[in-house]
Amino acid sequence: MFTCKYAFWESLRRPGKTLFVALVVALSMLGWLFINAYAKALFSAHEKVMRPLKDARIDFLVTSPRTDAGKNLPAGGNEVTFVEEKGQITPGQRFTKDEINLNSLRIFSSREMAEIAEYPSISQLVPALIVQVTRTEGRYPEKIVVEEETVAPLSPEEKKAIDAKLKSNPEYQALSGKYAELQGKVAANSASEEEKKQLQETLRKMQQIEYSYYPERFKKFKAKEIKPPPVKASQTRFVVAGIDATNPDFGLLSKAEIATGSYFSANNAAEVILRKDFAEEKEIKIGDVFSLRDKQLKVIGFAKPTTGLSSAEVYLPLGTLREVVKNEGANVLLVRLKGVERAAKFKETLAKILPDSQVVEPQEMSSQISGALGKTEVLIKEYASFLVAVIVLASIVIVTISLVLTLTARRNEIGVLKVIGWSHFGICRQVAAELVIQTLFGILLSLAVALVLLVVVNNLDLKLNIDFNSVEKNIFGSEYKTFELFHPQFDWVAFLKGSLAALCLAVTVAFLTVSVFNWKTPFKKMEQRGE
Amino acid sequence: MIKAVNLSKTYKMGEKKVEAVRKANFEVDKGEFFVIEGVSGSGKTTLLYLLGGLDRPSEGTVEIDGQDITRLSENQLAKFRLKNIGFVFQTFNLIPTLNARENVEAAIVPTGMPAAERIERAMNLLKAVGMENRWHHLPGKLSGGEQQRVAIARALANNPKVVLADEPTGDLDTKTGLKIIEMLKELSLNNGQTVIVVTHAPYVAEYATRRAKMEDGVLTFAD
Ligand SMILES: Nc1ncnc2c1ncn2[C@@H]1O[C@H](COP(=O)(O)OP(=O)(O)OP(=O)(O)O)[C@@H](O)[C@H]1O
Ligand SMILES: [Mg+2]
Repeated sequence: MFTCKYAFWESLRRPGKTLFVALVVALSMLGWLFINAYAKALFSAHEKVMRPLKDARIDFLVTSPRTDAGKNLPAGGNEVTFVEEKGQITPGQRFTKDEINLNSLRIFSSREMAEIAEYPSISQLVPALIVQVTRTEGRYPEKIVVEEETVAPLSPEEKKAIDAKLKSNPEYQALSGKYAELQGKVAANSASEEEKKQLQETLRKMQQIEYSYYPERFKKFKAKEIKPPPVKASQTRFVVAGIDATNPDFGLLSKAEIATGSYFSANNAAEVILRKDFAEEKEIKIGDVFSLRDKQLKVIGFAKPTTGLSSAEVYLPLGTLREVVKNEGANVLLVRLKGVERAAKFKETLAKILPDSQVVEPQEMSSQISGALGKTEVLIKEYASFLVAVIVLASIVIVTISLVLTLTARRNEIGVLKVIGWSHFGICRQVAAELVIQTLFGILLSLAVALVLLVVVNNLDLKLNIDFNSVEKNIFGSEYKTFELFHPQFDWVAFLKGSLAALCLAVTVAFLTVSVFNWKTPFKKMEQRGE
Repeated sequence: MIKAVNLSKTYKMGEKKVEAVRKANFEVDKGEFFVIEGVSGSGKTTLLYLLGGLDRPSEGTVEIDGQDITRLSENQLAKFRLKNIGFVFQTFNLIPTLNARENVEAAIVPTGMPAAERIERAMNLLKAVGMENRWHHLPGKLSGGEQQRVAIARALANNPKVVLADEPTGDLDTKTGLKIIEMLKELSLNNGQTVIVVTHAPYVAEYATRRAKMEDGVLTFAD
């Protein structure tokens, strides 16, 4: 193609101009790619949050906070006492002590449960019990040695020497006489309160004098504190959820969330399912024994919860957990209604039965979060689009101005082309080809820079933190809090779209500029220049 | 072949009117070597541009081969020039980024001739002006006379009926100028082309089949 050859040589002839246009195009392209990477990262963050909530398949998750001394709570069944293990310390023995707490959620009373269950629109009501376990593990020391310092008692010789010294001490003798007198009064019950006090005081002074005659070793002696034996122990905390095994498709952990192994066989089976990462950290395998308090449980499966409804590490059948903690209650209620339109009505009723209840609605929450994220997305997209539009517009203006300048400098050449029979279209196509070549340089430049920047950004590991303040802590694990700020992969689709747009714009700008500046009599001018 | 009737061109410079060409009436026959002389500013270039359809007259018509070119649109004019008219300028006006052959090719490109054929034709044209060995040189590497030879090859690229040359020897020394004029004359003789040459140089007039003088926009014939 003659036009291409011509355009190529022309672009090389003016390297400054070619580089300038290429830089402007590259800048626009980079802006576009930057915005796209950002928007894409936001979108995947969005998906990450939305998916678990969408999977939850429940309408409500009801809990009530624990308040002090249960004062404000309705009577019956709210006093919870977990039996504390009180073992005898045996030297050298391993020990595991599980302290079980209710955490921040209180147990619902059976009356409350019954009242809620009566609500006609409920299609399913599944109770669950979530407790916090603080496990102390360790080994008692082999020997418990209590060192006690002993002082040798007074020898008869020492006693004699002290007695002799006391006898020759007039002060002691006087006190001794006074003591005997007061003693007599007390014995005869004729002593006043004042005299009783004096008796004590006299005795104390006598003892002081006597003690001052004791040998040195008595003075050094101090009673030693007896410390309990040092115990090497470690503490771990984990959350245990008791779930209704009769409802395997619904609740805090559904059958679908078991990654390996099986689901509970019965609601009081001595079985346990561990969260996969917890099991891996503790190096527990399926078939192992996991004990909670004195209850031996068989590990039957590992779970990978996808709904985000629970952050528990350990799952037990509800009946088994109730047996371990010796409480028949529940502190989490999962509710599914017969129709979504009844949700508002249910919330009203719930507020009457459980004035202190906290209700989490996964659907509502998902729309809230997606709304918030969506808003950020829209906001960023709007600002970003505006920014890109400004950059692109500025680029178009700059490129057009530089094109006008070059064309003015090349009026003579353009005029010659017209003289030798080139049509208007032919000249437009020629200028367009030149601009397209320069734009292609720019696109290649932007590709190179973008790929380098991507490596840099990925190495920097930029994260976007979203704080779900309104969302209960146990609903979202920490992994749902951080997202990538930029999409880690190069967005070829955006790159191709941008490139295509840039090329189309280049062609349009070339045609419009040449058409608008339709040099009507460049021939005259060029001849006069020659004269 | 070429017929000008009442051909006039008036430039308005604010209040002042410059009558560059005044009521020119003449005919030029096929194969003529027509030379127009005149002092600077007398309107020679203006007349040539009117004849070549590069400028539109204020009054009158230009007929070439029976076609009134003053009635053609810009695009029609471009096509008409392509087939019928070749231009040679005083300042050569070659495209600086293209080599000699490509400069000639540039004039053939709009006809849509296939590339191989186009290159062959360009080489033949360069051969005719004695530049075939310098085909790959850029205009900057060529002397004035060589550049003008390439420009003549380009003007003849599509075998036009009319060649318009505006002071083709103006930037050349007499010896080179003579060679260029001889070349133009020879080509017109071989191909039967009508050539109109505008010039200051007296030696050019000797080649003319007909001569005319331009004075203050008025064209007068010598005989
Ligand atoms: N585009 C224009 N606008 C206004 N006046 C013009 C224009 N072109 C030419 N003229 C005027 O018309 C007159 C004739 O100009 P023209 O260029 O035809 O002269 P010329 O004979 O070719 O001169 P030269 O020998 O210097 O090339 C001059 O007075 C010139 O100033
Ligand atoms: Mg002139």
